[in-house]
Amino acid sequence: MQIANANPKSFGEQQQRIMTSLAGMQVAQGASNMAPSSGQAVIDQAMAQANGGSILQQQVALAAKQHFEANAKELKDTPGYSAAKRGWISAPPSPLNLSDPQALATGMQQRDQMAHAIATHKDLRETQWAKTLPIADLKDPEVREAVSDAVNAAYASLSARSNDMSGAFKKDRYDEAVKMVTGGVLSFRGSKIIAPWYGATDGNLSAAINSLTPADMAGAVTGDGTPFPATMLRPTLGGMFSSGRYRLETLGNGKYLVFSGDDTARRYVQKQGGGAFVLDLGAKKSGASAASMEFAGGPPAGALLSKQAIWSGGDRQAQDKTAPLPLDDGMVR
Amino acid sequence: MLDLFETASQDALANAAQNPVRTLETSAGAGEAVARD
Repeated sequence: MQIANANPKSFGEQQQRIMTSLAGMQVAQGASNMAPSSGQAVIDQAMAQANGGSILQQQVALAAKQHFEANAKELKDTPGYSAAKRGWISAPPSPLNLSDPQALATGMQQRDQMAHAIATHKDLRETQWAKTLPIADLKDPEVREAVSDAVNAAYASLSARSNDMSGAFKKDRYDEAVKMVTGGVLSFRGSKIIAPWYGATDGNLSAAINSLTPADMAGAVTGDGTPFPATMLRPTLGGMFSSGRYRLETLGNGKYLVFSGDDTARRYVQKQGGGAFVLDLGAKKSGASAASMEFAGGPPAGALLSKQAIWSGGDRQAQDKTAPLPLDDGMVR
Repeated sequence: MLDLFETASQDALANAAQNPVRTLETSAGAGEAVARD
């Protein structure tokens, strides 16, 4: 699959980019605690687009990232105003009155409360993000930041939809935002992976693993050349992924590395002839998703743009690092 | 969202290629194959 070939530049594509960027802006504005009456429309739009295609998802995430950066700057430059707007405190602190000891004490107390509220909100989100997708399972800092920002934007919009301006952290809501942005984070033998396709469930993952054929694993070997069979990834006793040495590490697009070892010394299954073996579970969608209608209408296969193509708004000069991945070289179909 | 991972994947692939599972063997107890790192 060549991403560029799958996405010829066209007027329709550019138009779509503009429209979805605008939608992403609205999602990000939701992160700034827009009026509750507007939150419903925004989150509905975001969710509809998230279900509509991967291009839309990416562009919404991009716009959310850009506007979240603006919001972060606002929080830094005008913390009192920004924290109050987000509902973390009831009102911005009053200006300090140095001539009145009582007023001065009150003003200092307000600032202390403001600092505490900002720190608490930030810490809770960062802690939950680290639990949701540990660094060992998603290492790239740029990707982590982009996904986390998009999740934060979705979280804030969900809060607005719920008319919740309390600023209190809600784990269930955070999990929903993660699912909305990533399409799902699943556990596989203790590792966290991004779902092989948007909305894939644990059951879908099990079905995809169980449907792996020798052809899917063709070329997978250990370092000494021993073939690596699909049975190594299938459920062991009890039919659960509770045991077994081999785990998966997310590459994206439904593709994974297969590794063993602990998180500080992961060792990977290789591809005969050189390079790491890439397991394509995304290719198992048609069979494995038949039992699940939870996220009907996920992103269309092949409708993908590169990260830089999106982040640069289509400016090819900014894509020096985006030569198509040699993923197909790592797979034997 | 999915192709946000594109550049990161190149780094991950390079790292994985440098750290191979060495051998495959069957453990005596559980009857399942394990890798010897």
